[in-house]
Amino acid sequence: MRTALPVLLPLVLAGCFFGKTKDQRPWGEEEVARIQVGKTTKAEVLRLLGPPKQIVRLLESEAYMYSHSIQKETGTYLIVFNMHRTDTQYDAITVIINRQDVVTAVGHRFDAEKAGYGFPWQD
Amino acid sequence: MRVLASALLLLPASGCVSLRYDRARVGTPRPVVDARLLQSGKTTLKEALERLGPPDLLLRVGHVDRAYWVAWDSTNLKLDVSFTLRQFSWDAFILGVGSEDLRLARLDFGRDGVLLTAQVTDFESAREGEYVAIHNRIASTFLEDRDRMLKVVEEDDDDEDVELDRPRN
Repeated sequence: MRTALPVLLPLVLAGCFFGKTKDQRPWGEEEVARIQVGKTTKAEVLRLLGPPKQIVRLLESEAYMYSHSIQKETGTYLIVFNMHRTDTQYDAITVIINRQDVVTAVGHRFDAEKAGYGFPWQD
Repeated sequence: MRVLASALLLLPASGCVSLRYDRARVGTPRPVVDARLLQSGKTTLKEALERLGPPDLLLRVGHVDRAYWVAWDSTNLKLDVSFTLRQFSWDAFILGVGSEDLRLARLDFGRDGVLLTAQVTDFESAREGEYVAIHNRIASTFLEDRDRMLKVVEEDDDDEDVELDRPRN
């Protein structure tokens, strides 16, 4: 019993936590699907997706960049041995708008929900 | 012997000794892998966005529009010993091993929106914890471009609306 005590004690006193951090996502895949290259205007993009997180001025156009992230944290505390894992994934949309205020390119990714909990060795 | 064993067991229990295993993952490497399939002089920015999705960083550099796709994964194992008594404290980092994996694709587009150059690279940190990627030109350029964009965003925060309404040439 005395031998088992040091092994069992950390398990009894162990702690763990799960954390999730996310920012508001004001748009969905349906809104992005409505954006048509060569047709949709800047005003329509703003109406559909709202104000972008970032506007980048390019050589012949502007890029409207939208992003939303989810970070999931998992922590295990076994007194002597502590483990911590964070996984951060993004939903993002980039809309390229030319000088005539028409969309010329769109790229989107919806990976935020793929962020996962787990141990450090897990993919 | 028992006294010594009890004292040794108390050390970790009091938080003086800790072994820590950390993992952090940001983004997915898929777009970086797909970037190898793009063709310089042929692929357009429109096609690149459709294929790779939105870039993690986009900016104008001189006569090119530059886009980065980045994925980062790090693992660390640390053994730390610390001791505090009144005003005296002592902290020793006994062991630190791990790795960092940075996958990065950098695409430069010309004024006509056609891909000029594509550079796709995987970087791994050294075992000693020194980040070798920092010595690589592409990775250091990425860090410089990212810092530049962060400054641009901070400067633009106040006058963004004014800039948007400005008539274009």
